[in-house]
Amino acid sequence: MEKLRSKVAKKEAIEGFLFISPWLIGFCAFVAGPMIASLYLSFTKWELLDRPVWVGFQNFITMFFEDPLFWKSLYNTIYYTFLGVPLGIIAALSLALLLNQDIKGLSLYRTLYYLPAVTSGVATAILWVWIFNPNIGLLNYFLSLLHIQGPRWLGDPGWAKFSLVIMSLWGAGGGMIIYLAGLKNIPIHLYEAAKIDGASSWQIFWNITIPQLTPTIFFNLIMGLIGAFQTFMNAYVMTQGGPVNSTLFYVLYLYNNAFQYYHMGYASSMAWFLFIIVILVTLLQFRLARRWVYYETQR
Amino acid sequence: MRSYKLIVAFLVLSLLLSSSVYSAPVTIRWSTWLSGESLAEQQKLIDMFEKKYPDIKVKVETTPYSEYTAKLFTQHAAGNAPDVMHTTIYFADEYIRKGLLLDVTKYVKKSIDFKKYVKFSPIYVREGKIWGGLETHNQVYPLFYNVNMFKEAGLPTPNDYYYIKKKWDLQTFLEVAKKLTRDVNGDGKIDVWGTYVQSGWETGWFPFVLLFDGEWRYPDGGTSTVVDVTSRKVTIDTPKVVDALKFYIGLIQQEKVAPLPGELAIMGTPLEAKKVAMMIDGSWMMNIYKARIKDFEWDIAHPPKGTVLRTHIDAGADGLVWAGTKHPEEAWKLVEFFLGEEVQMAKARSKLVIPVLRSALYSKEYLTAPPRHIKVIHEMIGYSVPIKPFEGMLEVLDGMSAELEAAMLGKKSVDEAIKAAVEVGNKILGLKR
Repeated sequence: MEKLRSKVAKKEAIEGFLFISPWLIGFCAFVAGPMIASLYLSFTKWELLDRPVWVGFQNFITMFFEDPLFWKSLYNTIYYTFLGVPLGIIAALSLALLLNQDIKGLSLYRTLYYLPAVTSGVATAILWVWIFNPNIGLLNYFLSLLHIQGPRWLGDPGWAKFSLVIMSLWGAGGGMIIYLAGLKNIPIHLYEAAKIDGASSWQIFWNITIPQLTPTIFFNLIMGLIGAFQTFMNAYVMTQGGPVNSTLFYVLYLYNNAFQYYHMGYASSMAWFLFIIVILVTLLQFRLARRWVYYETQR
Repeated sequence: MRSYKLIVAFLVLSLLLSSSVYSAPVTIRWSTWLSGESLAEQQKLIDMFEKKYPDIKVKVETTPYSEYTAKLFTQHAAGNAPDVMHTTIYFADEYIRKGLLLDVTKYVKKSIDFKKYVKFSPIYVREGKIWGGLETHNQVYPLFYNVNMFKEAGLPTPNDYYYIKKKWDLQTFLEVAKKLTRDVNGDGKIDVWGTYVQSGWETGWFPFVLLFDGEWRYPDGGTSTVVDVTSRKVTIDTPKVVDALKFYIGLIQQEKVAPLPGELAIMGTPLEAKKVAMMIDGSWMMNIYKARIKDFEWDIAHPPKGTVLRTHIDAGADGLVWAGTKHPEEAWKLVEFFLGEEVQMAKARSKLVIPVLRSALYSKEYLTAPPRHIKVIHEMIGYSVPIKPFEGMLEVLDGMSAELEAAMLGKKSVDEAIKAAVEVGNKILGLKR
């Protein structure tokens, strides 16, 4: 009987693997395979056509101690991440709270705010180049109505990074949808009980909404951090890393090394270093999450 | 049985005979980054080639410019590169060094009459051999200008200064630029500038370096821009280059005759948007302006003379033969076709590039306006210096251009920006990767 059961289990396992084999093959060929290859390549000098030459830790030594643009690109990325992600969370959460009200035309507002999240990235980038234009751009026009002389935004090395942070808020609709789902999940009786107890709106928000939403905030924080560390397209399309390398983000510099200058081994080293940074930051967040994320099922 | 054998023998014989009469066309692959109208134009030429050589079919493979070389390298590594590849000078150097190109010396010697062509760039010749093919066209960097703006301001045009007054130098250029920089609508802000300076090296600061005689030259001719290739050190801080950069950046910061980079809100170039009166740009802009500018007259002129009158010339090729091709004869025929009358005349008509075949370069079609002073191109070729790229060239120049941008934006002095550019340039040159 035992033998028969193990035979059935074995058969089922084989069938299971066969069912998932298209994904499995795809994963091995296009994800795991290239990842392992790039790990090897990160210890080589490889310019696409020559054979990779083993150089040990030379790429990492060059990265950390010699390359003038490596630290610059890392700094730009950290600036963008640590400013953009919290602002993104605040913007998306605020939108979700506003659109969680019982107002007329709610679906329309939700669609409008979500629309940028599904708009083509390149089209959005071109639109924002105009918005940021120092002379005829929408942003400086509004500032001029308040008698404020707007900066040169993307044209000023001191403002360009911050401009891209502002632009990243344009996609807050994506996060908003997730927060809305989280808000809908909060049991209504908690609010009713708080109201009976005489809690103010602020107290309700701070002591019920936020704690109940912490898993959603945590999810958006993790996804936001991973996404921000890999930011690429807006700088690639709008600024090409300029002015004066102020928007040369890590992945843009990695891309340049790989596909403009063909330092594939070096680019692989950069990719693995970024992977380590993202893993460490994510692990740190998971560790910190124990202190502030509230899961209803974990009492 | 006997009749059966006879039928089989007959069939075999007829098969053999038919195969000797009819052979299937050879298909060769040609890669390019062209798209849209340019690709459609090129396709017409490919169709002409196929008509001329019915036994050769050409399969066109397009890849966006930004991914073009990476894809070619990958294809080459996999032994599957296209037989003939479209190339710019910067790619070509890379291809030769990495062994992508076939030694075509014997084909060139057999079929190319050098007397019919302008002087070919040394780029495709290494160790006495010609690799892949020869350039099919060139680019130089003239001064483009809005004729109407000069007329309205009552000023002689750059061509008047050059050909009639015989004085078209940087000083005159600056004086003219000042007169053309104006607040047209009276709101207290400049809205038309005398000139425009681009922030990259190719159409930006390098043309000025040449006018100040500041480029580094190979002992056997040609320039590597501002890098001493023998010692692998940048030469951007040598006195002549410093003078050139001070003049170039001064046009924005001190003289205020050019806007800050990125300041103009325009579609297209500042010249076609009627925001600037004159600017140095690549000769390919003739094709663009020819099609787009309808509401004012534009023309080209010599760049203003500095301590010397000089421009750089870039050689590009519609096709170079891949080292691993199985059809070298057919591939060469396509390259030869690109160098031939039909293609060269098409280039003359479009003015997107400068033909290398003299009969096309001096043809009526090429000489037809606009621009009216197309002869400037012929004359510029005469005093041009070919760019001879070196390993890491684009990377170093991109790195230095980014540092110089700080001075253009007024965030650093020119000396500080040059110091930073030297540091970055030398570091990039010395990186072990």
